[in-house]
Amino acid sequence: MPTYNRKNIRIDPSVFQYPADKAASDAIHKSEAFQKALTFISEQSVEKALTGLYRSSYAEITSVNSPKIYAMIREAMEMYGMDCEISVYIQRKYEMSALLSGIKHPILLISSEFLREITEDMLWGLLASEVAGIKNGFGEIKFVESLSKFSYGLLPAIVTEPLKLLFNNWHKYAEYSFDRANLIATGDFNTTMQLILLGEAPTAILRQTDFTDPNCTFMSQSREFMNTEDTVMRVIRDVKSVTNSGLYYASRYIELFKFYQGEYYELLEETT
Amino acid sequence: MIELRGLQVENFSHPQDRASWTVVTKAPWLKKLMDWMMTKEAMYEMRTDYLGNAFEVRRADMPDLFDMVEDVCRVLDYQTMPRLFSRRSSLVGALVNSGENPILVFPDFILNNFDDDMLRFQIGRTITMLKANNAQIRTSVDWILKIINKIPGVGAVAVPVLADWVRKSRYTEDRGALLACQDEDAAMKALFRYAGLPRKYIDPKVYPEYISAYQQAGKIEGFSQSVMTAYRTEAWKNDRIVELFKWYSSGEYFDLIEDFE
Repeated sequence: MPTYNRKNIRIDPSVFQYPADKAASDAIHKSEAFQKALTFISEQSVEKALTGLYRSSYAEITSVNSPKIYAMIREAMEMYGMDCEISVYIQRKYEMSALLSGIKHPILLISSEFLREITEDMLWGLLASEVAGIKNGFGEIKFVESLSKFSYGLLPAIVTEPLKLLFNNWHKYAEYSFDRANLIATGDFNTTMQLILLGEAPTAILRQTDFTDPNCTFMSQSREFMNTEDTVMRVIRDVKSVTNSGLYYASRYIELFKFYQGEYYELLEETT
Repeated sequence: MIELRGLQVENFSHPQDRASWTVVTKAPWLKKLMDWMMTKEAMYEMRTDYLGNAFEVRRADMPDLFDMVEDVCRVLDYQTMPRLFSRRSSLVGALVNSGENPILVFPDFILNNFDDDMLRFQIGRTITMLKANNAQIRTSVDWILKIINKIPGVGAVAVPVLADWVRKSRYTEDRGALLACQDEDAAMKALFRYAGLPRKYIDPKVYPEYISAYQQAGKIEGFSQSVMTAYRTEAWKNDRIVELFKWYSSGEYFDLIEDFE
């Protein structure tokens, strides 16, 4: 088993990108509509306008006001081979969320609650996974998606619904890639799981749970969810999985656990 | 804490809740539809969400919470221990999902910010929902509201009837919650907190004055009330405070407790 040292890791995040995410992301990038949207955004300086909006609305992280966070971003960029500038903003919000968007100038918007409740290791994992997402082209997709939402009320459902499904499909699988990037950055499965479930349970409980133990309580709950033989529950779960953009924590945990037990150590060995 | 062995919801249900339920049952098709939905385990939708998206807590994780829920079940004479979950949410009330295996979901906000007595009130409310079968009925009502709201004419008549019952059933649940904590101050504290009053301003000495001022000036009545509440499924928070205050101030609550002593 290789020794983990994040300073030695250099890896292109597309190497461990979740296969279905890669397929969904490629499909979006290759579509004519998406390319037209990118051209429109570039020609009309839409991105510049959005950057201005963020700059006026939220507090920006700088090397002066938050040197630690600033340094983490730089380190994550080095780890995942990223060279364009990333602006990080803080939004006052109770819900924990991190929003990634942007094409030439990616923007990361983090809710204030994250910073209040997060440990340094978890913050590092969060920032690194977002940087990996930017490197994989997620910022572009998110940007076009957020613009396309303006059309949802104007265009007929026959046009907007397939568009929503396309983005939702990508969103789901992208979460798996984010989780993998997070694990590679933190090097600790429990830290990554604590971040994923942050706030869902009191922190003390999350800290005392060993998520690497296949018999831990959250694994049995997740298995019950994934392997239920109840037809009604299966149907609801599967329909919601298609129509919702978010993933169930249970499925994120199981997918990440599989990665942890398989490819993860091989990747670590190859990249350190 | 006095154990209320043999307690029935009818012993403490609010008259407005009973009257409103009678109106619901006067529409036989509505009652039939609800009964049918309950046999179809319409509850599964939320259960799926909790199992996949919330965190199930075990006794080893939170022994105090387990003890409290068990104790409330014992006091209210409810036999089934629910599964307990927690999730990230700023809601100030616990959620409940019924069916064969009831589930209680605690928002992290109340776990982190509520004193034990307020938490006990919240648990009492959810156990009352289970005991009265309100959790199951309400989930069916939610489904029906979603569906009939889309049928012009039918929705306009049926929605206010169902919404009225949902609102009034809260009064009964608050009474059950008080029976669970058996502490009027804690109950009022929880309801005032729910209404938005910051913790440091909550003072039992001000309850009577506040309630009397609300009853004289704040209550919405007549046509305005009908219009504004017809489609609303959440009881007015201040009405809940008033109704619970009236119950224990009238002595009814203490008489009931005495019957079980």
